[in-house]
Amino acid sequence: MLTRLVARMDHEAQTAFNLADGMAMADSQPFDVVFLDVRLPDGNGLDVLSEIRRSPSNPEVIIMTGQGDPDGAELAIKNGAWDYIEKPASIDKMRLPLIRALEFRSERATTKVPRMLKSGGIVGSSPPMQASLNVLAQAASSDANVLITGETGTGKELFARGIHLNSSRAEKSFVVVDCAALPETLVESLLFGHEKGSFTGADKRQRGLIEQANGGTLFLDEIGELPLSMQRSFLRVIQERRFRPVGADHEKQSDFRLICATNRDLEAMIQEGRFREDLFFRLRAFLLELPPLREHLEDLPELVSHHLAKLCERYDIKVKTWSPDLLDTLSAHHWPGNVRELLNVLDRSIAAAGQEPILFPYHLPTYLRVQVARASVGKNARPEPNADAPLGPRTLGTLKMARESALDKAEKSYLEELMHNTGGDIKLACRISDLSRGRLYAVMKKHGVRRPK
Amino acid sequence: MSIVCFLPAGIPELDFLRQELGNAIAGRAVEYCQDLPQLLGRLRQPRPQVSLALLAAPDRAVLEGLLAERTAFAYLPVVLLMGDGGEAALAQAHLLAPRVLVDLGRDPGAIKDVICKILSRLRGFSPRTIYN
Repeated sequence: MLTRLVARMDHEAQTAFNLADGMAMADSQPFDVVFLDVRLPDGNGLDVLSEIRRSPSNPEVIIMTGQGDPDGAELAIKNGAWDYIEKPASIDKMRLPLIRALEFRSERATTKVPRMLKSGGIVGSSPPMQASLNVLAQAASSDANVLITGETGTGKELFARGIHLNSSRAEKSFVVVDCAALPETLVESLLFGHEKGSFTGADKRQRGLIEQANGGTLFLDEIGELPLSMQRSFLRVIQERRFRPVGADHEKQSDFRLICATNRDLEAMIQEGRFREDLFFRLRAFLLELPPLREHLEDLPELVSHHLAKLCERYDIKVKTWSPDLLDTLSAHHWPGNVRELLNVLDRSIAAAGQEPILFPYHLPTYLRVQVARASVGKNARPEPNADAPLGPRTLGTLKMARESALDKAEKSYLEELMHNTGGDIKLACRISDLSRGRLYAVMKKHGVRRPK
Repeated sequence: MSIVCFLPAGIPELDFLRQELGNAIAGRAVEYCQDLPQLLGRLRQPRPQVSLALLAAPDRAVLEGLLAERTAFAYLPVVLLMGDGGEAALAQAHLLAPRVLVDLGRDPGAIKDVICKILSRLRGFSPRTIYN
């Protein structure tokens, strides 16, 4: 019925009867819209929703299910589904979201985005990077709030700056607020500013960062670290674009565009009462999820070339080249610290090479070569979950790191056992674990745990 | 991990800040550069092993000097202390992409807290990028 409906609308349709075939088709051919059934012979459609969205043509996904399932609907929408319809659905119920999705695609294709994006130092032409750049272009052509997520070192600030540079606010300031760097005692007066005499040491009026961003872009990095008390104040600021400096008797207005970034799981923080849900929904008008480097290793040659040139320029030395086996070694690494770790590795390699004009694997840091060598002989060389460790000396680490690592291991082991014991029955797993369906999927995704086939 | 500081002499607030940093951070981890050429020379050493730059711009001339050499601060988090709180000066200051921009007259203890928070998070040389 669906195929006939699509044909009558002068579009082409193809059908896959299981997840594996569907994924293969999505990877190999361009599609505008995918109707995705939840119950398929080889798994749950919701499990592959994000993957389909990331396939080369970034299709819109309309979820279809045979039963009322509010949790599934929520999960589908949160993972970027275009719409969610229940079977059996009338022709009209199926046609309307399809028409809307196609209209959206058509409008987006003709939306005037900057013909030539100012890259602002963003490097990479792989499909995951292209998908991220597409979102960047869309975000740049609007004025909506943007939430950028991604592992540490994936370039969240760079993308935020890219959105600013390609927006109508590019001529004004891009104001960075590192929420994790500000002590609670300083956050309010730095963000909102203060009047002379408003506290001891306030000997002159000071413009806050919100005021400094007037006309431009305010970038709140590590938004998950913003204290709860400030989250409430800030919610009002982003709703009304008005704020009151410390010690002032009147409010001020600031016309800024807001971009936030985090590597934290804000939804988990909401459940733990550490992040406001209303603020979260305000922030994510546009959601840009940056891929980890291990998912776009094909960009390594471009990345190495670009950053090597920049580092050599910085040190005022002749630009070095590299041997092909250097890239082989880099490609075999897991990159827990992402592009930031790559910069560090190149920096160390330049120093190790000294006057030699070509970088060889021998110049790479020992930890990386050891890890790659161990992996090549089949041993488990994956780093511990505290992925930044290679960036510093290999030490025991802090208690917090050890605690987080232990917690990660325990959670993963619990989820694997849960899936094993329930045979992948999500309803039963939710009941046993006392987690909502959405939360269960989120933690399974975090730990890479899949339902048994 | 070390911090490179460019805190021009003769400004009382900066003297207090030096004392605060000296008390809070092990001596060898804080390096002071007397002038811009010394600072640039330090940052352009191969593998400079610098985690953070603490820069003070008491006036527009110093700020413009820093901006002219901003490629030296690429890949490095910067905390910038501004003497001029005027709109134009602040707009220029943001071109350096400081992680934290704060008034030079701010309580040195609070600035020290900012530095300590950033250092505790870095856990090693962790370059951040700026591409202006």
